[in-house]
Parts: sequence; C-alpha cells; structure tokens
Amino acid sequence: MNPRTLTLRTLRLLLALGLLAALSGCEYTDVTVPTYQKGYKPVQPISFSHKLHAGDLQMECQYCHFGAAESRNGSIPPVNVCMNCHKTVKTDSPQIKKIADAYEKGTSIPWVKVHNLPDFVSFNHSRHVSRGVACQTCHGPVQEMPEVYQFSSLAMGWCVNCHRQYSEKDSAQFGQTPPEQFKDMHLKPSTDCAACHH
Amino acid sequence: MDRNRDHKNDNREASHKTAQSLAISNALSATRKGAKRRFVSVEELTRNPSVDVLREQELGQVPVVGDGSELQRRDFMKVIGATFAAASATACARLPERYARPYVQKPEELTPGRANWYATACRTCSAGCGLLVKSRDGRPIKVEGNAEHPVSKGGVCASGQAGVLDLYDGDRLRGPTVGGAPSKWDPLDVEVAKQLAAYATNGKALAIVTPTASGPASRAVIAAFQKKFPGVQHVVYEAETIGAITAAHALTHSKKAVPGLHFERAEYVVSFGADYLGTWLQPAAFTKQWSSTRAVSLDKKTMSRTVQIETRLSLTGSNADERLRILPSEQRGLVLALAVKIAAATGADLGVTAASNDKIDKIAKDLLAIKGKSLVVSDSDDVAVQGAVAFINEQLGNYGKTLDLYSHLQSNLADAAAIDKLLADVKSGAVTGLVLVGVNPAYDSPTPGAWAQAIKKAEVSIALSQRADETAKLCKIVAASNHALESWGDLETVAGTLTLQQPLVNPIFDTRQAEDSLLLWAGAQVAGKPATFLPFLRETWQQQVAIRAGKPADFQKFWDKSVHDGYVVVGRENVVIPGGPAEVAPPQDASPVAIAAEASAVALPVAATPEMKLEAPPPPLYTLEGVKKALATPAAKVEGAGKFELVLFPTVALRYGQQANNPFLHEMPDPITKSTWGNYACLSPKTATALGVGSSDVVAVKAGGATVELPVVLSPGLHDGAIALPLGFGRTAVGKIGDGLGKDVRVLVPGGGAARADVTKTGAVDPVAFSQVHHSYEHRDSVRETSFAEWSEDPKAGNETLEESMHDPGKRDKRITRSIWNRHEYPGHKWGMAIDLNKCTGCGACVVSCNIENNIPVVGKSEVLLRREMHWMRIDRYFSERGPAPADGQDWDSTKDDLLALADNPEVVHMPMLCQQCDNAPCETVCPVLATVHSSEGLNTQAYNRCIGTRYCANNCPYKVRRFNWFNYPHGEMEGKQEKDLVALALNPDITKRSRGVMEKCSFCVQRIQEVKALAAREGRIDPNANGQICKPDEVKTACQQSCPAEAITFGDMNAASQVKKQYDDPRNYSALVEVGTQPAVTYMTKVRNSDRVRAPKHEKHEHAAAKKAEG
Repeated sequence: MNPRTLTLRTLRLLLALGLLAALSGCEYTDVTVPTYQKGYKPVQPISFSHKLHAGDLQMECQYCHFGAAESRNGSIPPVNVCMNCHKTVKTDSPQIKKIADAYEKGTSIPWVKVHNLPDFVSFNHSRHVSRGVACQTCHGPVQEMPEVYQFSSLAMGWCVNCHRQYSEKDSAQFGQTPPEQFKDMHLKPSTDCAACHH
Repeated sequence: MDRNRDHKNDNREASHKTAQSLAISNALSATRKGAKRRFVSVEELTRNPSVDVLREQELGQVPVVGDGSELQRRDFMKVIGATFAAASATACARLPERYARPYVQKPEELTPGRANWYATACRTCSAGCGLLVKSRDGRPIKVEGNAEHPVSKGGVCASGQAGVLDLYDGDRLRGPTVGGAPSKWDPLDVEVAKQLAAYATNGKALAIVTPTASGPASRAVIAAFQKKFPGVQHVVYEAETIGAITAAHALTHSKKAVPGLHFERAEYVVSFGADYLGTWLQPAAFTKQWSSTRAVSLDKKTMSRTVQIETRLSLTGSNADERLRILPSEQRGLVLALAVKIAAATGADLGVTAASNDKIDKIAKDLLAIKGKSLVVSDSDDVAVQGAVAFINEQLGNYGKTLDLYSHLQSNLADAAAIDKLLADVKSGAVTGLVLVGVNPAYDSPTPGAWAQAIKKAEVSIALSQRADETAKLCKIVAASNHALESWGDLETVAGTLTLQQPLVNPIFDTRQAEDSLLLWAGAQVAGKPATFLPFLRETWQQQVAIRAGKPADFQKFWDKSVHDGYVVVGRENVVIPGGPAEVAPPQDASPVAIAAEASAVALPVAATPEMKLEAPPPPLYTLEGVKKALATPAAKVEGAGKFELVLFPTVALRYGQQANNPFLHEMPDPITKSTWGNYACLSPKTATALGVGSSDVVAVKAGGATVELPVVLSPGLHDGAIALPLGFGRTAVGKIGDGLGKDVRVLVPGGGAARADVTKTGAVDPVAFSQVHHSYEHRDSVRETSFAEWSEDPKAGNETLEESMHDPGKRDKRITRSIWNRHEYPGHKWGMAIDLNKCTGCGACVVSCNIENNIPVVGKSEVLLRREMHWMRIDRYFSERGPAPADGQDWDSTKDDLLALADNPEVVHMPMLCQQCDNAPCETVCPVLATVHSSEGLNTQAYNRCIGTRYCANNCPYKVRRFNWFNYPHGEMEGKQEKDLVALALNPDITKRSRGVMEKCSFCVQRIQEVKALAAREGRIDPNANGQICKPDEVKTACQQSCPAEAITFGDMNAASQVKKQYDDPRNYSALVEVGTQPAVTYMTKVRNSDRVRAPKHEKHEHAAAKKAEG
C-alpha cells in the first residue's frame, strides 16, 4: 500500500475519533434536547406525595410554590414552608425527620428536577400563572401523583400548539377554539421565536 | 475540484474585485461633490492598498491550503457523516440528574428568578456616581446608573459598568498576608498592634495615605485613627492630579476647593486640555450635563458651543464644535492671552502681558458677549493657568452660575504638596511608618519610583488593598480589603449631596473592609463595643448628617430612606461641636465642611450633644491680588531636550490603570484610536510619515534616560510637535490579564511633570488590534451632519436626501422604500430605537453595558486581530475634514491634494452601530435554516439553537453587526486568565447560552422586553385591542440606553406615543445606509455642529446619483 494513503487513512481515523469525542463530550450536554423525557419519574430524596397534599388535603399549589406567580421560576418551596405545618404535624415520621433535620442544620434538600428545559429556552411561570393557566395544563394531574413525573413532552411543538390555541386569531387559523376562560382577556400568546428563545 | 485550484481562483477573483471596488469607490467619491470627505483611518485617507486588502478579507483570510495531499471535501463529508451517526447513537442516554436546591429559610426580599435592585455608590474612580446594582439570587450582576442621584443623574461610564467584573476577579487578594506569607486576621491584628504601638505616643512618625474620603463617616474613621495616634499625618492621594485648581482658588477666592461645575447651564464651554467628557473629574456627570445642552429639536432651538484647545484629540475634543491644536507648552501663553483680553475688556489690570492670538481673540469676543453663561476649564497642573482660568470665569460672571464654590467638588482632594512633604519625611527618617489605604502610588503616581523607595525605607508599611499590587507587594503587612460591592461607605463628592454605599454581597474571599481594619486598629467604639464600620457609619450619620438634614424626627426612617435611595441632599452648613478636641489639626486638604465634620467625629462615641449647631460656610472672597499672586507662579520646567513634547494621558477605559485586570475594558475599543488590548504611541500622520512608520510599526520613545518601545497608532488631530502615550498599562502586579500588557510610560518622566522626548524607528512590527478598520461599508456614507446655522434655517438640513430618492411616494412614511417583499404587519408593539448623533460622545459606556447584560465573551488580542471580536454594539468613529465641504467638488485625489492635511485637525462623528433590526432584513432572506426570522414586533430575532453557522447572514449584513462564535470562550490566550467558576457568577441568567459555531447579535435586549411583559401580566394589564400591546410606550429600556450618560439613545414602541416615535418624526431622523433599502428599526438623528462653518452648497442631486449608483 502506498505509504501516503496509509497516512491519510490514519489521519481520517484520528479525525473521526476526535470529532466523536468532541461531539459526545461535555460541551454538547448543555444543548442536548431533553424534551422527550415524558414520563420521567426520578426518585426524590424525600418521598413527598403531591397526591396527599394537593389531592387529599386539597392544599393550594401556590401555598408551597408561591414563586410561580412572582417569578420565572416555579420555585421549589424553601424548607421553612414545610416546617410551617410539620413543626407539629407528623413529627415522628422518618420522612419528616429528614426535613426537620435539614431545617435544623440549615442544609438544603437536593430535590431532583423533574422538568428540565434546555438552556436555550426561557419559560416564565409568572406570565402563565397570572393569566390563569392552571398548573395542571402543563404539569398534569399532580394532585393524583404520589410521585411526580413529567406529564407533558415539553417539546416545542407542544408549547406552540397551546400558544396558537389560546390566541383568538391563530386559533381560527388552525381550526381551534380558545378555551372559554380566556375569551374576554384578549390574550395573544406569541409564537415569535424570541418569546421563548431569548 | 481540487481545493488548491479553488484557492487560486479565489485569489484571482479577489484581486479583480479589489480593483473593482476601488473603481466603484472612486466613482462614488467623484460624484459626491460637495459632500464631506470622511475616513476611518489615515490608511484609508491616503489610499493605502492594505485597506482594500483588509476589506476583501472581511470574513477572514482564505485558509492556507497545502500541496493537495490533504483531505478532499468528499472524504471529509464521509468522515463527518460517520461521526455524526456515531455521535447520535451515543446521545440516546438519559440526561444526568439535575437538582433544585431550595433555600432553607428564604430571605424575605428575595424571590428566586427575580432580580433585586439596590442603590449604592460607584467607587471605580473618585467621581462617586450613584448606582443601582442588579442582584440575582444574591449575586450582583449588572451596574446601572441611579437616575435619581442628583450628581450623576443616572450616568455611569464604561469603567463603572465594568467594575462588577472586578468583584469576581480571582486575582484579588484571598486573605491577609504578613511578611509576604498568607496569614489570618487575628495574627495580623496582633502584629499590627505591635508595630503601631510605638506611634501611640509618637504619631508624627506615622502617616496614613488614603484616597479622597469625602463622606462624614469615611472622614470620621480617619479622625478616629488620628485620635489613637495623635499627630499622624493624613495624606490624601489620587492618581489624577488636579491640585492646581484647589491651590489657585485658595489664592483667587480664598477657598481651597474645586468649584462645582455646571455644564448644563453653559452656552459656551472653553476647555484648555480638560477631557471632561472622557476622564476629567466626573466625566459621567459632566456628559449628562453637557448632552442636555446639545439636544436640539423643533421645540428646542438652542445649542451650546464647545471649544477645545488641546494637544491630542481627546474624547471631548472629538465632540467639540471648534478645536485648536496646540502644544502643551503653549497652553499657559494662550490662557494668559485670553485672560489679558478679557481683562482689557472688563477693565481689570492683571499686570501681565501675553502675545495676542487671533483665535483666542475671537473666543474672548464670543465669551464677553454672553456673560454668566459660559464656562472655562483647564486640566493644567500650573497654578498660574488655573488662576487665570478662575479670573476669566470671575470676570465673565460665571461664578454662582456655571461654577459653584458653595456646592464645590470634593471628589479629588489630593494635595501634591502634602505628598511631596511625606516623601521627603520618609526619606529624612522623620516618618517611619506608612499605612496605605486602597492606594497604589508605586504604580499610578507621577513619581512611582520615589514612592517605591519610600515604602521600602519605611520600618512599618501596612497596605490595605484589594490586590497584591505594586504598592502592596512592597509592604510588610497587607490587610486584604473588600471590593466596593462588598463594602459600606459614604461620599460627599459634591458638598451638600451625600451618597451612601451599601454592599451587595458578603465578601467572596477572606477579606475585610478597610474601614473595619482601621477602626479596629484605632480602638474605636460604638455603644461601648469595638466598632465595625456599619454601626460606626450609622452613628456618624445620626450625629452629623441628621442635623444637616434638618433633624428628622425619626432617624431610623431617615436612615432607611437614605440607604434605599442611595443618596440624601442636605444643607451645606458645617456641623460645629463646641469644645471638640483642639489638638487634632485639620487636614491640609479639607474644605470647611470637612474640617468641622472631622472635629465632631473625634468626639465619637459620645452621643449627639444639644450644643451641636450648624454654621454657614464662609463666602468665597474674590480678590484681584490673589489672581496676581497665582499668575506669578513660575511655569513648570520641561525636562529633556527631545524633539517632541511628551503627553501622557489616561485612556477613557483604563484611566490610570486601577482596573487593568478587567478584560472588558481592554477589549473596549478606545473611542478615538479604536485600538484594543495594550498601549501604543500616538504619532500625528505627518510625524509618522516623516519618520517612515505606519500603524503597528514599533518606535522607540526616549526620554528621562529611559526608552519605551511601543507600536505606532496614527492619530489624526495630534499636534505634529508632540507624541502622546496612554497611561495605565505595563502593570506588573495586577493580575493575569493586566500584567505585562502594554508598557508603563511613567518611566519616561521619572520626576513627573512635563518632558520632551525623541522618537526613532526600530524596524519591528507589533500589530495593534484595531476594531473598526476591518469592516467595510463599501464606501457608503452612513453619517449625516449639518451646522447649527443651517439646521436653524432648515430642520431637514443635512438630511435632504430622504425626501427624494428611492422612496415610495404613495406611502405615508416616505422612508419606506419600494420593495419586492410583502410588508410586515405590526398590530401590537413595534420596537424602535433612535440614536442622537448630536448627543453621543462615543464614550463606550453602552458597549460595556451591552457586553455585561448579554454575557458577551471577551476574545483577546489575537482574536481581535482576526476580526473576531464579539461586541454586539460598537461605536464607529469617522474623521472628516474640518470646516465646510469643498464647494468646488474636490475629490479624494492624492496627486492633487495634501491628503494628510485633512488629518491635521479633523472633525469626528461617533456613530453607535448595532443590529438595525431591519424590516427588509438581508440576513433573514439568506438563512438556510430560518434561524434568523422576523418577529411580530419588528425584531430581527436570532434563534441560536437553530443556527448552524453558515455565516451567510453576516456576509449579507450591510451594517456588519453580526458576530460569529468561533469558539467556546474563553479560548486561546484568554484561557486560564480568569477563573471560570468565579466569572460565571457575573453572568446574566436571563440570557440564552450560545455555544461555538453560532451567529449572534444584538437582540434589542429582548430579555428586557420579555421581563416587562411578564410584569404587565403579573399586574393583570388587559390589552383591549387584543394585539399584544401591553407594555407602556417607554417602559422597556435597553442596556445601552439605560447606561448612556448622554441620553443619546431612545427606545420604545413605535406604535405608541413614545419618545422614540417623536424622534422618528423629527426632520433630523434618518436611516443609516438608506439607499440599500433595509428599512431599519434603528434610526439616527443628524449631527449638528455649532461651528462657524459657512453654509455648504446643496448637494442632494449628487447624493441621489451616488446612491443610485450604489444600488445599481
């Protein structure tokens, strides 16, 4: 074999390996699209049941997730919110003890994120909550989930579909009718790229 | 096809195109008779072929191709295809678990995901501007001006904006050191107590050197220190020397102070060398004041005139209506000539004579015509010059109008005489101990060598410093002090206006606020406990400020409001406590207000006494005798006998080099030279031609027994008999970024003062990284300008072309060109911006503000040289010949004209350039993946995650505002210079992350638009028209707009009654490069110069023809 061809082949092999390493390397983990994680149900450090709190006890979602109406973040409640009740309620439960322990020591609880959006998308909870979009629209029947899982795909098409449906103009165009509750609010959810990608 | 052959073809094509574009440009300029000749560099002016080569290679050089044995394109595609397949196979794995860690106890005022804003004070220089700092989750991430602050009124300069990055600088001191070894605070305090013990009885042998401490509590700290060590010398040190103004006023007005300046009341400003818009005293505040006099509209038909008499083209000079080019040594004579002329006209006898000068006589005549409405300033170190300036202002009746000796400036109270005395005392052994608080005289003083010797000689040397800088390195004990955003403080930079500085964050490193250290060492107490600065500050305010503020009934409320607002305006009276300790001598630099404040402070911690009272400050007393005394001061000796007079100047970004480890400031192009990273020797084009050097050729500058080799920057406007060298570079102990960057030019003048130098060519080349020259508009002129006289007659002056060419006569808006595209409909908001070229000074604050807001990476010098700077916003600087355009239609012709003469003293236009958010956007039509599309609100949006990096869009952008991420930054030389984890804390979390291979550009701060929309939704605003218009017309402020100290930028909804709509409808409004038909959402306002220019001939027809040609 021609030595030059050999060198070329080696070069190609090296190049391929190098690119493979680069593409699968850490640089690209940030932009990997995690949209198809529907059904993702991670094990949480404390077995908190939304079914019990939001379902059986019928607590308001925003009693704990109060940041959702104020901020872009949905806000995992600070530990002291748990302790508002659990200073007295079920203090002997081993799960509650974990919370009480974290509260005493001042250490944060590492809840595993269920809903992950990529870094190139901005979602603002407060804009949706303040316009009356129910939490369940995106998060599903959380009040029935002992363990929370990802209900919706959170894919772009799923977002855009809703934005079109809720807009009077677009909904007509796409043969949909806006939900009754938004009829008088004259909302115009944007379908511009920059509505989310900014 | 063989890649190699492609390349050859490319080359041929390139050279052909070069000739073609030259022909076009010649044809263009030939038809533009009567238009001003504009140039971005001397090379362009003189038709240096290098310029056209650069233009042809605008998107980078053709890659070097070898002998044909390398990979061919198809092979490459095969390989890369296989790689993608392999990569996608591995990409199916689950994402790593991510965690959401909530607070244990959420701070009450903090909501995760929402920003908090706190008022504080800027301490990057001594000006003391009021700030609002944005804090996200406890991290300060963005500095903006506090619009309510009475002095700075919302202005912050580029240095102040960049200051937030200094907080996250890993090269700051991480803890105290004793004897050069890392230490802890307890052993350090023990050691300090031991070393200072001897001075408790012999305070005279100790000196404390501080920057200007103008606030009552800051002064009280020093007073407490003085109380513990009686007789200790307090020396105020600042890198900027303005002592001559104070000294002159002590003689002329018997008040040792710098008068407060009011450019906003001046119709005519004459400045002898003072760069008040760039670096002098309080540039951001002055810019704010000055720009208000430059606004012209149909409602306001007045405009100030600015005259600058200087050696090198400063930022102020570039904005002046008239500019005289003089040598530094000529300044004294000219100021005296003006004084003599004014004296003759007003009947005062100065007893001096001065050679008459036509231009000065003309200025004198103008000034005398508008008494009380002018302002004359000078940056001279010469007491005679400052005395003459004070005399001129007095005779013109400016005191009490444009100058204020009651609300005087206290931002810089340094006293050169006291510094000289201290250095002499250390040398003689009279002073053996030095406490240096936050100063770095071993680098930034005019005589760093003398300081270094003094510090080395001192038996006790204690530095309270943020860095192990040149001064701290020489000190035996270094008490690491906090960054300003980690510190409390107070300032009274203008008498009567107090600014309160509050910390935004706990100290990141093991540092301690300098005031805490001093109070501890002084053994000061508050309420019977050892004092730390916060209670001390509060107590001082309770005692001294409250009484000046009219004794508010509820001090807590007063204090809370002061902290909240960041400032408080109080009476200018002095606080007097009868029976205050008499043994404490008032410091030499102090103003009456300050002296009294200190006297009372020493009484701490005694509670406020009922006898405490206020006393009106003595009125300034003007005497002609004082002026004569000042004028009798001999002129400073000029050192050396070189051919050129040497000018050492602070740059707009780096000033005196304190922030030399800040990459934003290094990469911010200098407003005048447009160079980045490192310093250079400014030579006038004629001088350089005589020496046979061009830009980037290295010259050796010899003076004071030292030689400094620097690359040349051809500097139009610089006097041919002078060379100018930027200060602030060549640091040795600032950090990884600033160390060794550029050269320290102070070595040329070891004794400080004026000097002459020789310049010789070395033959070496050291490329200067310019930011502007590599973008080409293909000789299209994007600037419109006119004179005030013309504009007064016709508000469309200079902007006539809009009426005629290429516009659709049927349209309501004449600016809408004929187009093959369907027009966009904007039923809701339509965002637009207008930039007033008349107000813009080119200071660069917007550039740095944009960088910080949008997480724009710093690329480093080698990348800038490859034209890969990432700035979304830049300021184009154009030179043009001074005076009227040639009526006879002179063309650029090097055979007929002395083209270099055009660069002797050119006029300048600063034109901020950012994505123009075109309606007919050329970038949108060429993107193959629809990554850049038009939004329903007129934004030209860029979806980064969709971009595949073809760069077609950048290629097709006539404004050259798109930036490509060649790498994941930091890259190359920037790698490892900053601590990634630390710098990441300064990032704005509201911005999309961009990785390499992606095109990015200005988004009109869409994240701020979205933030306001979210606010509107939270407030439950209902949009009755269902068109999405829920923001108020002027509610959204872009980062550049907010930071602009000149208020040159307006932004808002063009579909509403907004400020920007008003600007859009003004006859001065125009679109840049209107002839290309892009219909930008960013518009500009014609520059109006208030010069004596005669009316230029009308030239619409030529413009028309030229534009047509360009279109065809």
